[in-house]
Amino acid sequence: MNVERPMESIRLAGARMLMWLFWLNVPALMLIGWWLKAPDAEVGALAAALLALLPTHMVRRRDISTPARMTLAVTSVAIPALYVFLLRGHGWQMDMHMGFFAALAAQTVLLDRRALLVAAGVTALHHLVLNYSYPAWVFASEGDLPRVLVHALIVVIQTLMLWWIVTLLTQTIRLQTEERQRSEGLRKEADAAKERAEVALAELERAQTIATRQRAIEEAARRAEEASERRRLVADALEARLGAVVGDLGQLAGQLSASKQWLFDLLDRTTQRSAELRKAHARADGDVRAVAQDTERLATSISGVGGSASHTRDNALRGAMATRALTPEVDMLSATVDSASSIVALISQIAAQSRTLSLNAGIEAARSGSEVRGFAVVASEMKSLAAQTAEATRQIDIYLQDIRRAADSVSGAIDVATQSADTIDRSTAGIVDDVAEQIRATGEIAAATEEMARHIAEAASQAEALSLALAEAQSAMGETDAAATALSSRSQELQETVRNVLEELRAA
Amino acid sequence: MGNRWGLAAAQLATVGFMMVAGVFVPPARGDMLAIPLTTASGHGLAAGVIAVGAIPVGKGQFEGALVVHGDRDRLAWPMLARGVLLLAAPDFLCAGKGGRA
Repeated sequence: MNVERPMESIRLAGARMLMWLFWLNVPALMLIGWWLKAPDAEVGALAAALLALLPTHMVRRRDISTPARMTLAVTSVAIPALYVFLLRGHGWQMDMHMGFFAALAAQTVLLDRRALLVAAGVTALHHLVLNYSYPAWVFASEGDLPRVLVHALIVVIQTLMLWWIVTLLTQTIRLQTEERQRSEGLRKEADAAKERAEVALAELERAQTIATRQRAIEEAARRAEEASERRRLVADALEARLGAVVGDLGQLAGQLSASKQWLFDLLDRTTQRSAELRKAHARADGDVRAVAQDTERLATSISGVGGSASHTRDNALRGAMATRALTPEVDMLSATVDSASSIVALISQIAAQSRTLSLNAGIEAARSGSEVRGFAVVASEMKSLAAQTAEATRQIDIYLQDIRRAADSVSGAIDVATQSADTIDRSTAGIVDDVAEQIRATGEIAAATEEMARHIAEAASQAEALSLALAEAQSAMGETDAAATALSSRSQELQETVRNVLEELRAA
Repeated sequence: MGNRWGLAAAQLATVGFMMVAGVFVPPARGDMLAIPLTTASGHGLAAGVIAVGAIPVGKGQFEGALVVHGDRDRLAWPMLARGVLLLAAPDFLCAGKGGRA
C-alpha cells in the first residue's frame, strides 16, 4: 500500500468538507446580506458560487493534487474576504476578519503545509492590499504598517502552529501507514502462512478424504465381493431349488404327457368297453329274458324231479326191506362156516399127529435094519398122507375164511344197503322239500330276473351317460393335453430363464 | 499536472480579480470616483454629475476625474452612457477628498 494513500484519503475527505462549506456560504452570504440589508448581497453570493466552481470540479474528479490543494486554500481565504466586502460600512465588518483564522485553520484538513502557506500568504496579501486601499476595512481606526505587522505576526504564529500540527499529523499518519503497511505485510505473511496451512490442511483433508474414499472403495469392494459370494450362493441355492423344481416340472410334464397318452388309451379302451358294455347289456337283457324262460322251464322240470324223487323213495323203501330180510340167512352161513372151521382144525391136528407117528416109525425102521424095510415104506406113505391131509385142511381153511369174509361182506353190504335205503329215504324226502323250495326259489328267481332286467336297463342308460361323460372327458383331456404341452414349453422357458438369471446373478 | 496548475492559477487569478474588484466596485451609496473615459466625456462632468443627482466632493488622482457622492444605481448607467466610469473611491485614488470612502 502506498504511504500517501491514507493522506490522500484524509485530504479528499477534507476537500469534500471544504467544498460543501464553500457552497454553504452562498446562501449564507445571501441571507446575511438580506438580513443586514447589504446592497451587494447577490454579488457576494454570486462571487461565492463562482469561487466554488473550480474546487467543486476538482473534488468531483477526486483531484486532491497539490494544485487542487492550492486552489482550495486560495478559495478558503477568499470566502471570508467576501464577508468583509459584503459588510462594508457595517459594524460587524471587523468581526468578519475572524473568518480568515478559521479559514487558515481549516487548511489542516488538507494536510499540506504549502496550502497553509498559500492561505496565509493570500490572507496577508489581502490585508496588505486593504491596508493601502481601504484601511477602514481592516482596522477600526486608521491603519498603519506596525498594526499590519502585528496582525501578520499573529497569522504567522497561527500558521506555524498549524504547520507544526500538520507536520505532526502527516508524520503520524505516515507512521501509522507504515505501521499499517508493516502490519499489512505481517498480516499478508500470516495470511500466506494461513493459506499455506489451509492448503496443507486441505491437502491433509484431501488425503483423508482420499483415504476415506479408498477405505470406502475397499469396503465397497469387500461388500461387493461378499454380495457376489452371497449371490453366487443364492444362485447355487436357487439353481438347486429351482433346478429341482424345473426338473420336477419337466418330469411332471413328461409324466403328464405319458399319463395323458395313457389316459387317452384308457379312455379309448373305456369307450370300447362302454360300447361293449352297452352290447353286453343288450345281450344280458336278452339273456335275462332267456333266463326267465329257462326259469319257467326249470320250475316245470323241478316239479318233474319232485315226482321222480317220490318214486325213488318208494323204491328205496322196498329195497331196504328186502335187504333186511337177507340178514338172518347170512348169519346162519357164518355159523356154518365157523363149524366147518372147527372140523378142519380137528383134521389138521390129526394130520399133524399122523406125521409125527410116521416120523417115529421111520426112525425105528431105520434102526431095525433090513428086516423091517417094508415098515419104513409104510411109515413114509403115512407121512405123505399126513402131509396131503394137512395141505387139504389148509386149503379148506382158506376156503372157509373166504366164505366167512364173503358172509361178512354180505352182512356189511346189507347194513350199507339198509343204511343207504334210509339215507335215500331221507334224501328223497329232502329232495322233495328242496324241490318245493326250488319251485319257490324259481319264482323268486323269475322276479329277480325281472328286477335284473330293469336294473340292466338302468345300467344301459348309465352306460350311455358314461359314454357321454367319456366324450367330455376326451374333450377335457384334449385341453389337458394342450395345457400339458404349454406347461412343458413354459417349463423349458422357465428353465432357460432361470439359467440366464443365475448366470447374470453370478456375473453381477 | 500542468492543466491542474493552470486551474489553480485561474482560481488564484479569480480571487485576485475579486479582490481588485472589491476594491474598485463603487459602493451602493457614498463616495465614488467618476473617471471620464474620453476627453469629450470630461467636459462638463461636474454638471453632468449634478444633473443625475450626485454631488461632487473632490478631484481624483487622474486627469478630469471627480469624486462624487450619490447613489450608485442612479449614477452608474447615466454616467456610463456619457462615457464616464464609476469606481469606488479609495484614498490612494482620491486627491482632494475630504474623508475616506
